[in-house]
Amino acid sequence: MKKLLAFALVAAMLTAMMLTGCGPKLAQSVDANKTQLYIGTYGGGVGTEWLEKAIADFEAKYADTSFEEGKKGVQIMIRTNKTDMEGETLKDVIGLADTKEEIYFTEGVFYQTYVSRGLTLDLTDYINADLTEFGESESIADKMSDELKAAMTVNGKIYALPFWQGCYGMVYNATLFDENGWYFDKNGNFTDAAGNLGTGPDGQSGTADDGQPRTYDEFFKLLAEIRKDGCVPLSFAGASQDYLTWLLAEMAVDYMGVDAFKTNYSLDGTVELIKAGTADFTGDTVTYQTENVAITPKNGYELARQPGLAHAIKFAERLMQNTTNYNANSCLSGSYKISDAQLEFVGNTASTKLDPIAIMIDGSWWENEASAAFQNTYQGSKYDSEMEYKWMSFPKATEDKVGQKSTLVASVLDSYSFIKANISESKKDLAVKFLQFVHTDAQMAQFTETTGLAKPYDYAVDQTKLTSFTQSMMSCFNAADLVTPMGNSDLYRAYCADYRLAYWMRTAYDPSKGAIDNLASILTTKSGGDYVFTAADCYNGMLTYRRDTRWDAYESLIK
Amino acid sequence: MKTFFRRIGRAVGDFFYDISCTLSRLKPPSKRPVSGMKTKKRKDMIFYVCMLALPLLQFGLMWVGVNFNSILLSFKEYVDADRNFVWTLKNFADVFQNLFGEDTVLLVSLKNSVLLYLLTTFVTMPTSLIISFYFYKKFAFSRALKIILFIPSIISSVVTVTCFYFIADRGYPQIMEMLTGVATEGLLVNSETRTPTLILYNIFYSMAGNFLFYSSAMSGIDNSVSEAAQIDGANLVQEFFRITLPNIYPMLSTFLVAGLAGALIGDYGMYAFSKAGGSAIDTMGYYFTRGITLDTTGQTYPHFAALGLVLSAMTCVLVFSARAILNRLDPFRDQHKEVKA
Repeated sequence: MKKLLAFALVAAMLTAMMLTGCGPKLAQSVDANKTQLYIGTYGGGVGTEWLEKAIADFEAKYADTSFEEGKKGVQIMIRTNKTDMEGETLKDVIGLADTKEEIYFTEGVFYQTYVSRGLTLDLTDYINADLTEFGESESIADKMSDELKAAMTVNGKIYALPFWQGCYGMVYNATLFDENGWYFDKNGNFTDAAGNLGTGPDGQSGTADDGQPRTYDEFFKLLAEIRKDGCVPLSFAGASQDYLTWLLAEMAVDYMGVDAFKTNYSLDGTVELIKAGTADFTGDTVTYQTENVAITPKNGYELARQPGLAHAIKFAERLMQNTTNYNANSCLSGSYKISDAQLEFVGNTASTKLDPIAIMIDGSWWENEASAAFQNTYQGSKYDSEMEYKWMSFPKATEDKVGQKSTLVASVLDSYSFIKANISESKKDLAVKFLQFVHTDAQMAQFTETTGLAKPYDYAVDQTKLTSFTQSMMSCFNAADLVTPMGNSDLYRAYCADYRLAYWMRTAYDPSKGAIDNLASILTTKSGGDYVFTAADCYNGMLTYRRDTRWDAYESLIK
Repeated sequence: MKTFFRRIGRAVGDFFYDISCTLSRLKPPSKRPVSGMKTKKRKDMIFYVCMLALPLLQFGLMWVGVNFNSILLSFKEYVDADRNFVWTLKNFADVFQNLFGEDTVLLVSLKNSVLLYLLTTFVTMPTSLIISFYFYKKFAFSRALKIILFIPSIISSVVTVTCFYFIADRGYPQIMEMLTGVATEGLLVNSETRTPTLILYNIFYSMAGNFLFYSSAMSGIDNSVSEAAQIDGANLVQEFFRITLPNIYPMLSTFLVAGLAGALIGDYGMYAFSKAGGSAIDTMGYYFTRGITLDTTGQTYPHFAALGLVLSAMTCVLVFSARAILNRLDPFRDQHKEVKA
């Protein structure tokens, strides 16, 4: 009897484990009377709700249309998987005959790699075709900026469409800011929201960033004020410290501007660099002398001397080496995940026992991703939040940069939508139709309303349907020069992964350690209670890493 | 347990015997009468071939097949993005340069791996042996303790690491703050306590499970031997050192040799702990994992292939030397020789 019981128990456990492994989404059953179209998507911060809505609309629109003989209507099947659908994994399986998915909406795609391997369908004609079938007179190409079209064009053709816009940055609890008067006035003193607000980093009054810290100095002054008022100034997930790295890279890009940014990818142009040996990191701000250097593929590693990178590293040092700025047991612990950070950011304000968090480092998709946090706190969605959240414009490194137009990499996650190259001829038209359909104004507006995320196309959205956060984020994007981190050289095509924005911060800060980009970890390493590594170590290590590791590997490709 | 293995052994034997019988039945009858001795020899040969085929096939597939490309890779150097290559010994030169350089990542990783192996072996093994002896002697709560101590080894390391993270980074600071009133950083958060904490975790984690093997081996010792020792006045310590340890020596030496085989390439849980700051302990296993995951272009794979070969060669030397030494130290060396003869 005992053995029987034990056997039954083990069998029950195994069955439970197998069922758990299946996940909540069981496979949809195929309707033999309809034509099937298979979609693969990453999910992640953007989720799948938008796709489900688009599918429902598309299926309804073509319910009476026949795409195959003997069949009527369309049935679209989605498969969501963060591992299989991630660009780097997908590139190895997308071409296989048994890969069912035909259209993809995913992330982590190195576009040039996909194109050079011939993995995606040439969409040029379809992108340039007017969307008359969907009641619009313009094409998808008409909705794209020239900069974007140029970046996506390879040998005169476009093989994928950018999926959505997003960047890493800082979200602040605007309600807390209003209650505590954490805004700067024109003299750099604190005031409330109704006060004589300062211009913010854009240097202009009457814009969305008014009252926000204009410079790094003001930003740290703000953190100290927040701490004085009994709140946690800043938070980020210790298990994803790369979020800080991405933020720092974005800040460096904002400093350098469009032209210098592009030179990082083309390796062709003259850039202002810090003169070797002149950088001084001892004060609150890094000081240096500059020189103009002509950058070529041969000396591309010299770009590690860009002032924007030095300022970003100094920013990281000031932030991390003062533990009153953040809660070390959260932000430096691998046990503190993004979901934990989001839950505390949203939930702490509803608790009387926990210190509210004023600012969180996260992606612009955070509000959509934090649905569990809103559910947990307000038993509802982001629209039920009692707090108002906003996107913070990046403060400028120095006073002289205040007023300079922001430069923003709004496609950090390399997200694209595309059709696989080996799609069967009979399905091609249907797949193209769906891709065009999700790029109609109405569908893109629905996407933004559902996800709180923007797409890099020209379309109108009803602002009243968006949260304060999405509105502030979009106005920030609209006010900036958006740049695309993509090059066209052989070197870029071969090593596009090395060009990922966060890797810009990679440093060989200590010869006995591997080169890493985790500045939070490096700068908080202690010995005898003192910090071991400084911003100077990280800055010098960046040049060492690029010159001795990256460019050493590139040697054969550099003519 | 013994009966179980005996049954499996018998089943495997029967399986191959059946195959040899079937093969001999399929064979056309010989025109010439064959002597009984010759038939037996042929049958034995078929049996040996069948027995050897499986491990040889496994070796061919799982080692030669898997490593063949890796071995070739170690002599290649990619010259462009399309992975065109030239044959070279440069990868080996780089590996040796790094291994014998000053404070290189590779050298530090190797040192850490050796340190962790020594610590986990020479702290864990004696502790596990003492615990196993406790179970073997069936002292109070030994069955319950056996289950409790075994649990970590059946739980996924990711789960264990997550739990440990919470204890070290959440539980510890709260307990310390309650006790001292001073805000304290978590053990893995604080870079100064991170390394000893990770070593402690490794010692604790590697302990789980080992004692089951040891206590099983101890239970195989003839009761009359320990009873005789007790009658002769041996206390527990004497019994442990003079009766138990020598009797399970073959198993201990096997464990030591097998452990040494993985010592240089062990990860020691560092990948699972990789969130514990970039400056967590670098081990060889972690060096491999990190290097390969960071390299999305595959251009540095030849370096890792060469390193793998060099480490395999170093491991071979270590393992065979250790085996020779341990065989010499075998307290029943003469008896084992007689059995072999």
